[in-house]
Amino acid sequence: MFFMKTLTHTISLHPQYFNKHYKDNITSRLYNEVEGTCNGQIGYICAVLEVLSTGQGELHPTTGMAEFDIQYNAVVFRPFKGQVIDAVVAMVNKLIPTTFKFDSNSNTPAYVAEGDADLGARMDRIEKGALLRVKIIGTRLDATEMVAIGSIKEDYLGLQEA
Amino acid sequence: MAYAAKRGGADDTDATALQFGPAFDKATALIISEVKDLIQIRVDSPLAPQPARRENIEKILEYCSKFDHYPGPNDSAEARRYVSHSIRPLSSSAFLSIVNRKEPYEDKLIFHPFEMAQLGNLCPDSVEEAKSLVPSLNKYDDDVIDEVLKDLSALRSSHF
Repeated sequence: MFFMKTLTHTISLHPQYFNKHYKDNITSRLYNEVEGTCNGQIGYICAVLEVLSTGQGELHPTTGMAEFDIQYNAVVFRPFKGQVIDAVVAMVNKLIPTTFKFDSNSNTPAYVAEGDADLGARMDRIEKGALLRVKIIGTRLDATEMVAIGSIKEDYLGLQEA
Repeated sequence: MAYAAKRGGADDTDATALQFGPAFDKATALIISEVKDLIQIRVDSPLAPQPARRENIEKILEYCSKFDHYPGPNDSAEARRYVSHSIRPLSSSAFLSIVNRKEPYEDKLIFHPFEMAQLGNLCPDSVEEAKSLVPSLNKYDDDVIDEVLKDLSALRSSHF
């Protein structure tokens, strides 16, 4: 799920940048330091939307650097256990679920569910680029990465039409 | 799992019971179309993302375009209006007050912000499907959910 969230980030500014452009400097550093990072509590920070306040810099007594506590709004992404989410298949490997057959001979590796031909059911192929609706059954957020495990074994989940 | 729990990991959260932990209790969930609009503003801003970051941002945009169910110029705002069950169009300040939750949402809105975004994102076809995908919706009347679903589906079909 994507969220809009107000976050804070501390930036230490070297004395050589203490000039009239210091605000531009810390803003552009904020963008570079937080966008695209993953945080154990927050999740993935997709984009900074606006800087709310840069605060007053506080000089660090031993280094001479100024520390700014910056408040900003950002779009963040974080998966939650129990949430249903649409996803795009990025890779198919050989961890075979029992109801699907792994088809390694085709151009793109895929899972194939054999529909009942008598009923005219189509063959469901889960391959790279397919759209899947999954329910997240577990997540793990580390300092640098997020891992989530999802299931399609429930009503209304599974392959979606593009 | 024990490893994650020991490190204060994420598994005290449960979306089916609307438990999102302290960090996300007050955050507002976004509909994917809104995310797309916001990220686009970021990409067009004067402080363009660095090439290394740009790739990530473009991936997010690509994902959002795939699941953007309300592509028209004002459609994401319309969708937000329907899921927040508001009769009038939301002014930008009203939207921000939802986003920043200055007023408790219970007074004005029926659904929890997470439920609003899920309804907007997953576009269920029936009340039954909605309740299966978002179990916390079970506490609402079918009529209330049905009305929102009908509004959203009318909005989506207006482009085909």
